[in-house]
Amino acid sequence: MKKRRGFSFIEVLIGMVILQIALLSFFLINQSSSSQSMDAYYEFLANSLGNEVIEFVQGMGYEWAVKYLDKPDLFPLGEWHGVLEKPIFAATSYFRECDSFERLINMQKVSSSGDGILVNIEIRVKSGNKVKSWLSRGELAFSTIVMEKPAR
Amino acid sequence: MTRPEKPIKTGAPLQLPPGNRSGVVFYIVLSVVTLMGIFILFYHSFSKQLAFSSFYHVNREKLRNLTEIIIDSAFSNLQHATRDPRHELTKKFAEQMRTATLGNAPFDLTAPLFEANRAALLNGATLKYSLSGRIFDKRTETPQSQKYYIGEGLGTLEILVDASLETPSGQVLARCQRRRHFDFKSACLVSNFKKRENSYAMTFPLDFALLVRNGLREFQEGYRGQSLNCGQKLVIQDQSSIPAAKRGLVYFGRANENNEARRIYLNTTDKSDSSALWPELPVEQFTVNQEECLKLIPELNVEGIDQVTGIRGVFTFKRCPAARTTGNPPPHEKEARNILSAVPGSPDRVLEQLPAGISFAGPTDKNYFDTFLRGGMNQRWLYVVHFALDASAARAGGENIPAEGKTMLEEAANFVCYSPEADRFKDDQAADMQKRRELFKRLEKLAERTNPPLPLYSDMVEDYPHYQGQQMKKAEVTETFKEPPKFFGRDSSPLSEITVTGSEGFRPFRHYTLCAARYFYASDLEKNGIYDKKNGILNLRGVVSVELEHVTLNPPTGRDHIIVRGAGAILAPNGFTINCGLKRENPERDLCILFTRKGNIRIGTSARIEASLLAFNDSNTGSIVPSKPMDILGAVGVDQLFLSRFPTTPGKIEFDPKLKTDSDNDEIFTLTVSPWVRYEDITFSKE
Repeated sequence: MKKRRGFSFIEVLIGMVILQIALLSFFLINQSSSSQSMDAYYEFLANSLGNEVIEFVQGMGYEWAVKYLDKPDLFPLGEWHGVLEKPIFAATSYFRECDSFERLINMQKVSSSGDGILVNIEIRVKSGNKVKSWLSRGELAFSTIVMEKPAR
Repeated sequence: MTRPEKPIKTGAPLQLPPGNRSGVVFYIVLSVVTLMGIFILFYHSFSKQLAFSSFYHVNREKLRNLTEIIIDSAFSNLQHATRDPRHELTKKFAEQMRTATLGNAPFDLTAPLFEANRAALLNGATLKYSLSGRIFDKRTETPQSQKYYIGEGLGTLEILVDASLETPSGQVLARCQRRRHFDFKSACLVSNFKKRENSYAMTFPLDFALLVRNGLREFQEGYRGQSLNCGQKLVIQDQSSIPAAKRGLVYFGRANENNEARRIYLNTTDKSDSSALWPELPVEQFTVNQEECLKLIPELNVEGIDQVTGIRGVFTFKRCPAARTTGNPPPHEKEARNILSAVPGSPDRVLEQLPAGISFAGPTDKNYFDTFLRGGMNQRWLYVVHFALDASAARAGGENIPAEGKTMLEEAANFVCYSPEADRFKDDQAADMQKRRELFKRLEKLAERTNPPLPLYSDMVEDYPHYQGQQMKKAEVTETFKEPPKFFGRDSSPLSEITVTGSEGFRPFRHYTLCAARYFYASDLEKNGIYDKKNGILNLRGVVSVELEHVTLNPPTGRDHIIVRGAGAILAPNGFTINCGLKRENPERDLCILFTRKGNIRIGTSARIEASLLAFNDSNTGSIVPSKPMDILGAVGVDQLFLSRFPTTPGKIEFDPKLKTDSDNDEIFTLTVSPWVRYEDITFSKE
């Protein structure tokens, strides 16, 4: 009698089980990787939006900041606002995803052997936005002091 | 019939070469799983790396921002601290500028504004940092290779921060070193006068409470010193409470006590507040016998005089003020002042002796004046010699002379003595005057017979505090007095005269390359925050030159003075008008110098001006023009005073002892640090 050759049902079954276990693991790893990537991406984006304010205020200088305290016309102070609703630069210069974020900017005078304006910035994802599921940190905070550079 | 058994068809594998196929599925699955696993792990690794990069970038960005705040805060603190010339940081700069080495050791800096807001800035993170500054480059010569004064020059400051951002457990998140360079200028405002024996410092006029550069010429231009003796206009305040070495000098340029032709004088007066240099007033007497009396007054040789004995002549010597402003002087003094004030060629015309235009408050002893008077500054007073015949003991033939006779004798010989060469007698040909002149010629003979020779003529004596005046000896002064102050040209070579003009001449505050700002319009003072007109504040730092306009300082609303903050000089070639007081916010810290190189300084206020006022130019005409009695706390330096233009109510100059020092430690340097960054770098190290 000739010996039967081929895959037995058992073999295929075991193979499928192993494959399923592996695929499940890969799926979980992949999900974690994706989550990490997206978290990093949005954190980077949020970080850029925070630093944007710092760089802008530092660039404009102390005198401007003092005046801005009295007349905040570019972005509101002390209230959450959508980044692209009150953009510092032209809205087209931002990534589309920036629209998912909102910013809170506070400025106050500080003094100690020199005068400065303390700028606090908080960034968070807008309520109900899908990015919320990607960004692990609820809020990002940034601070700087734009300092008077007395020439006299 | 039995059909032959057909082989069972089992599909493609059955077409494979014969062999054992058992377990192949496992290998296939394993291969697929491995391949997928590799891909998945790659993906996972990439995404992990991405997350790490993002985290890494965020931390570095945060550290970069924090170090920027630290350096900004350190710079701001440095700017505030170095506004005070006495601050340790300012002294550190001066000290490092003085050293011969090019680079210098780092010194600690602080970032107080960062520290005050540390919690708000770090948001829970931990930051460790060290902050230091050093001068790593300096230029101590002018572009023409002339050395600046020691401690002056241009340099570059490096602010260096080493920082690491850490987790609360100490894990380093990011670490960096950041440096920033700023250029600065160090200019001396008050220099050690002892170091100026052989070198040039641009601040030398500040050693003087009053420096009149062309003082001798101004004095000589006025007849009998009238230009400086025109009624009291200026008082140099008492300096006795100031250590001798720090007293403000008073010098009239080119005057030299060792050269008789270069002496100047100020009239003494009877005013108590102008009694400086006023000698004690002893009345001394000198007696001559009857024989000398008869030689002097031949009219006494009447018949029977040879029977008379006991007559003597008494010379009384008195020192009186050259000018009287109050009271009724004794007749002899009044007469002497009038006779001696006659204008040559016009014997009837008398030029009234007026009080000195300058007086010195405080002690009156010579030792005190020696500490600050330089050149040939003398006091003029009236020396009155009166002759009276004393016949009280006169007897004739052994009998007392009757009282009427004595009176007659005494009245015949009672007069004030003058030189026969006095203008009043020399020029007046009236018989009476010529008769008196003959009398004084005989007096001349008598003076020659005295031993030692005595000055028997009344005169205006111009040489106090020279001793011969005090001692009534008219002999030539043999003492060598202190040489007048030395002045130096821009290249440290001594000037032959203080009045030398031109680029190599008298050039104080010629801080061309050390100016904090130049070519300003007056309005630029406001634009650059130096003169805050609205709030009435002068923010001074370094030497600022306003070369294009006249500078006017007006009072702010509701105040009669401007506040001076910081130490510095404003040069305004076209001059200043000061319509309000200047008050230092912190007298220990602040120092204000206003200097004009072409114009004048007009003063339209009697409020106190706490500033040094200097007006020197190449025409030797720089002056202060007060329309109200001025009150200066500082140093005053001018080409000419033009005292006759001063208000009749005396102005005051009080010397600020801070302006003169004999110690390096008390030198005042002003530091101007440019707010612009010259160079910057940041280096992150591997965490």
